[in-house]
Amino acid sequence: MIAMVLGLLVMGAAFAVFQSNQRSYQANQGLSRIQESARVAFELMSRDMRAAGGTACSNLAAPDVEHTATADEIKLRSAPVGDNGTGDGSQLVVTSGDDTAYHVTAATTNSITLATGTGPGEINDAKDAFKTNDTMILCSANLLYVVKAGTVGTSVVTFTPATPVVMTVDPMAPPATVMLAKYRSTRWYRNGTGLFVSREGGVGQQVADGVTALSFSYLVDGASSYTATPASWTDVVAVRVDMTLQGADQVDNKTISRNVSNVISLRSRAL
Amino acid sequence: MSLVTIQHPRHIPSARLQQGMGMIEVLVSVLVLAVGLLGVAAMQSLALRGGQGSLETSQAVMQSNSIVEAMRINPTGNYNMGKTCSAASVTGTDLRANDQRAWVTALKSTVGADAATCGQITGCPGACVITVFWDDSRAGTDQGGTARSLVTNARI
Repeated sequence: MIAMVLGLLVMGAAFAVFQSNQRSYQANQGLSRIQESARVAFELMSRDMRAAGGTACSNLAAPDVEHTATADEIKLRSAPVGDNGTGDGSQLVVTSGDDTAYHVTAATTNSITLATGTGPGEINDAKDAFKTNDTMILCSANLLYVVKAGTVGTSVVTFTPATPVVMTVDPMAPPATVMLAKYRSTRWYRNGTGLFVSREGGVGQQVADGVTALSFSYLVDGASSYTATPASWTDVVAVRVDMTLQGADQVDNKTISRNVSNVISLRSRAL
Repeated sequence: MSLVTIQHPRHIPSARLQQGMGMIEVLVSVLVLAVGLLGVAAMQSLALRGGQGSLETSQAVMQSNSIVEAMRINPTGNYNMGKTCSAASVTGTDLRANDQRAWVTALKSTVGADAATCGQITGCPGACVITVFWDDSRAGTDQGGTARSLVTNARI
């Protein structure tokens, strides 16, 4: 009889241990998830924001005066960060040139020839980097255009609209400075409790889960504090990201929740 | 070829003696189990504290990077400040003071909300040393315990 009581006691203890094990597993999983989400958001968002407005060419490169700047050109040059028109700091749109640019050897007003081969700055096949309808940045030390790819061959890529002058004959910019790169437009936003990213206006991809709050605030050059509604997007030099993350499971009727914050300076404005 | 040995049946103890053995066995097993369960509980709490400590370290790294970025955007501001444990003790209304205040506030909300969470910046702009202090005694004493700190060197 006593042995039975003791046995039950032992079983009860084992059950209690099992339960607490489960709870500690949930708590640990929640914490790990938060850490993972915080890190991935921190790394990926920082990378995009740092690159905002950056191209392979000079900061001073601009479209020809006779050319009417397109929306993409204005965004890239004047307002590389924006809030997609929401006005509440809940979204962030970043535009920049891709960090891989290709050397141009010859050009006409509507096509360019890339250096092909396996050497430095050369591409094996232009089809590896560009596709038809890709938005591309065509720039030199003096000029910058955002164009759309037409047909893509092994070394020749045609584009629209045509440039007013042939890129390689600009007297102010030597042909060696002419580059072709992909145009990058990234939108970061929250949908439900997921942190999403949409690249080039495509379908959003979920990056992190358990995001219960996400807010962006911006520092305008010369201002003394960050604001969610900057007066001039052109003068934004840094972005602050604040996030609240929470774990998936409830532990003792409470959800684990942590705050994450980070400041990122726009490299094309700061250095 | 095998050798077969026939064992004699063992002597069977009396029923009275067997009852006593059963009791002692159960008692001993309860004791052993109790010690084992204590070990399991200790391991669980250690794992939890380790997880929390790792998150706090991650946050400290992110906060260090954060203030470096803020300093880079305002390179002429002198961000040096002694060990500051309260956002209210930072005075001023310029960008530098606002950044420092926001940084200490962020440290409190991300790394840990207790009094031991502090920030310090020295040697700017040539050789900035950014130190984040926090209480990590729960995760063990081997890494500094109560006075855990993370030092980042940067040039503005």
